[in-house]
Amino acid sequence: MIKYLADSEALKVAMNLEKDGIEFYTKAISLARDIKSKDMFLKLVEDEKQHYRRFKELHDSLKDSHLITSQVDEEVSDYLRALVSTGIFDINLITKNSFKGLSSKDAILVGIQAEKESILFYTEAIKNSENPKGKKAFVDILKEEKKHLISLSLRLRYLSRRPGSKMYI
Amino acid sequence: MSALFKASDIVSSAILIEENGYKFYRQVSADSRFYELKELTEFLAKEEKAHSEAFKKILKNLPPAEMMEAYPGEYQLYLKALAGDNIFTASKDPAGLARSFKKAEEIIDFGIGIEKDSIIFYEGLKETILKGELSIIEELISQERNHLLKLLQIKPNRTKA
Repeated sequence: MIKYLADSEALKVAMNLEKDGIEFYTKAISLARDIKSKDMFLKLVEDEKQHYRRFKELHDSLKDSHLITSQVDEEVSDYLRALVSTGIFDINLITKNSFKGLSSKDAILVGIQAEKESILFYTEAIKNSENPKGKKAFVDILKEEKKHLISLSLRLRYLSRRPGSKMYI
Repeated sequence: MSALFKASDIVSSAILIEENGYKFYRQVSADSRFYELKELTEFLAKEEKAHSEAFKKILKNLPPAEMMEAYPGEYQLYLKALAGDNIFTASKDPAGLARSFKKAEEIIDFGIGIEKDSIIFYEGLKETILKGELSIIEELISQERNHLLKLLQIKPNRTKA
């Protein structure tokens, strides 16, 4: 039995994370009422689309190969495989809820949660990956997801401080 | 917003997270409604207490007034976002929070969330202020991963990929 999480599998999870992010942030744009939140969600969509494209290209190039080497850290790979197998990184479960009655703040909180899932996964995927291009993609995109978290967090803080601010989507 | 960011602030946040985690799990373990979680939450409470002590030692060993000026502002913002967003830095009554849950599954889901948050936060710490304590942080992260896996294992209706 192959215990290791192959790069192609990890990239598939990454693609799903990005795809769910695109879907969620797209809904958030169309319903956001303040310009700055709208612009923030617009940028997030564009970034997640780029991420998806990059992961897809890599995944397609690796589809028929399993880069398993003796260098793989078994503990990291077992851990990552265990997490993936429980569906923990299915952010669709986080983002699928109805948007009716959701405020900008609620949407941002959901976004923060989704970004954390990505950060957690990519942090481990970097350690697990043996493919240099895959590893670099995870490293690069992890940096961007952290920036997303910062943007969302700062926006949330701003909206939370505004008196009576209930910008309903 | 101040550009300066004390290492001691971040470590104090970590202590608070672990202390509140300990109180939370301790409350659950004592709650007869959740007898099926008793053994696991006793174990988790014990470990979070030990983590809190580990971070207190780290805090003691920090050079006085260590600042993060050398680090890019963005990293400070990132760690602040993680620390600020963590429910256990904001929560004043973790035991009360535990009492408010009605089902074991809610507690498991909540525990999964806080363990994930701890892992992400401590991974962030590795990159910055605590390079001298790297092996301790790695061990703590390893233990938090173990917590996460244990909680996932008992989660009902787990999705299988």
